Amino acid sequence: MAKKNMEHVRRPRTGWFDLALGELWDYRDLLATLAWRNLTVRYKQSALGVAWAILKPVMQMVVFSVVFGRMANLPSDGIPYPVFLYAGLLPWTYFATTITSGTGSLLAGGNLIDKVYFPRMILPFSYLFTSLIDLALAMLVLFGMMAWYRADIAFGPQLLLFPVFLIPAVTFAGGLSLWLSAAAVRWRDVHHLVPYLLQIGMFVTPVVYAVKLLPARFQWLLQLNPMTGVVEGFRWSLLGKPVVGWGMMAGGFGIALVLLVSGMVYFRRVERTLADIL
Amino acid sequence: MNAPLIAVEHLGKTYRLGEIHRDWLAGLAGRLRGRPRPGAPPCLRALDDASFSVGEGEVFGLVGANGAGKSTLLKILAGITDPTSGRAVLRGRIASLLEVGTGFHPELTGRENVFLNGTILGLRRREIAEEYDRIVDFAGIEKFMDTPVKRYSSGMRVRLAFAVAAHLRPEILLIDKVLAVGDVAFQRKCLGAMKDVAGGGRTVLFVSHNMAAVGSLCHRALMLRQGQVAALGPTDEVIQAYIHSTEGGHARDEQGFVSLHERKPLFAHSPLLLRAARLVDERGLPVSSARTGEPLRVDVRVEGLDRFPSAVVGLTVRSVFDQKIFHFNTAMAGGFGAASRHARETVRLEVPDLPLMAGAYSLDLLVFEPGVRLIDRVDGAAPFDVIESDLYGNGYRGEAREGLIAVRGECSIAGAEDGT
Repeated sequence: MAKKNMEHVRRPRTGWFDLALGELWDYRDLLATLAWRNLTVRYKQSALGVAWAILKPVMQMVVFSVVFGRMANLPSDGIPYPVFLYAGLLPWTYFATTITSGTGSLLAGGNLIDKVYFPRMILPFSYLFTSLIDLALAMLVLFGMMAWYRADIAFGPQLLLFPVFLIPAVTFAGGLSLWLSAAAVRWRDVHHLVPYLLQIGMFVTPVVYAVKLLPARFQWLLQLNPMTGVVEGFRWSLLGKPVVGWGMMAGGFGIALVLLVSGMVYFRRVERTLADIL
Repeated sequence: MNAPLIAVEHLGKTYRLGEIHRDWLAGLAGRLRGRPRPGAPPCLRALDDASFSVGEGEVFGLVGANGAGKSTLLKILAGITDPTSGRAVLRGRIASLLEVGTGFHPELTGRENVFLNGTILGLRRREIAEEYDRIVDFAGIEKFMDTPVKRYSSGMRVRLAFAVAAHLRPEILLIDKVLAVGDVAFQRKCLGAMKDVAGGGRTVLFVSHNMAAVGSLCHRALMLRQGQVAALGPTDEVIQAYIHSTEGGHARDEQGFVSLHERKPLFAHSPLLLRAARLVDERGLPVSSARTGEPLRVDVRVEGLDRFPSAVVGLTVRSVFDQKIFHFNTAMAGGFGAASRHARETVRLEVPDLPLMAGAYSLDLLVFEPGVRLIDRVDGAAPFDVIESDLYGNGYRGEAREGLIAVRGECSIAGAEDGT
């Protein structure tokens, strides 16, 4: 940032494709600081603090295991249901919390947007990283469960590959956050809608069930959802489950990428009048 | 001469008024049934064709009444909002302080907020760490750095916010009315820091309603009125223009009275007794100035003195810097008797030899019951000039900048230096 002779030009913006990525890079420290702030603020003044990052998915796992594993007896590809579920629940929780907080990020940051300049994309993006920290903590429990169920899991060298599947997750969550946060500024309705969409989303992603629960001719529909690839990828690398359709997985990533780029374009458009309509 | 650090050319900003997509659904339904689209919403030209430039090392003041477009201009320069026409070019790192504690998060501690605030203003964490001790030192609140900012007083927040901004080493510092908070000692410290910033070849753009601060800090200034540049030049001249423009809102009637009708009551349900005012000369003709050492005559139209038999009508003269210089009222002059009180009166207040040096002044009018309550008051009811006169009989012309009060005196040689 301490570049000499940098020049700022203020004029009416018209172009469609000025994503200002260089500027985003200049402000990378703000991204880190905000991600950290989100985390501190989320857990400050709660007695259990960061432990909530672990407790929330674990409690969900217990409830779902009883309801879907025991009572509904959903198939889990021969892997013990709790660990099968938890390995899918973690990337999904990452996605859902990122989207929820990302959608409201511009409204929550209104007093900042109105008073200081910085690339606004940093606000929704900061939650991508905040939730990653949550995810990392919750992963500790997953490793514990994997050790507990080690007899039923086929471990392999692919174990080290699980972070790769975070890439489509971050891309997809980032793209959707941009679209939703920018839209939420114009239409507060988005706020009311997102929780329901996420609820539906969890059931069109194979989180609580295995893909083969669906008839084969409908399975491709599931694969259009980028989160399917993420969840399946997690189970493949961590639990040794045979993976379904690499091609479809790449397709899902492609969709996520398109969403990210289009989200950036849309976001930059809304950004122009952001301070005026917030 | 280098290229200016801030170059503004024909900058404009139009806001659309009215709510965004209010009743959007109803409007859509109406249109489906063939009703026409409502006309274009009304627009507000918040900034209109403003052009000026600010050089390196300059402290530049921005003055104007509320809603004149100062904040809009600053927001455009800071990059917070886009202009709708024209352009501005700024060279160098910009730090903006548009409100107290911008970017402070109430749940975080002072220390955490220094880093948050610094990175928001565009600094790297490493750079903040280097400056951290000096920032804390400047703010003078080292004991509270590990306390959440939500427990800070507003004064402490300004201290910290200003400390961060002042240590960013920006080439351009944009400041909007933040110094209104904070005690006098700290304000002085901030003004000093701003001077240092300017002294280091950097540029400060400073918005304030405090003419004393603008006057003592700024080399040049700009006055905005309804979004347009109304005055631009040396600070003194712009301040004069600003003082005179404040009467723009009042219309004068054919007898030279400035109407005081259009205003809110002082307190809820308090009556508006002061109706109009004017300055007059010895023949009773309306004027807009008085002369040093000569009478100041003010006519005040007052209503309802019959309902407040003990009410006193008074005037307070203020300087450009909003300082009260003197007060004079009907009780001091011996009153005017209850018998003559009618529902509507014109009260004349006369100060026989006005002890003010040449310059711009303004006048507050008030009606009160001494020791009981204030009934009505209008601040800045009548701005006026004092024009120099040959007070000393030798052609010496005094000015307000030498001292506001005009006194007469004598001098003599009291003795030679060796005491003989």
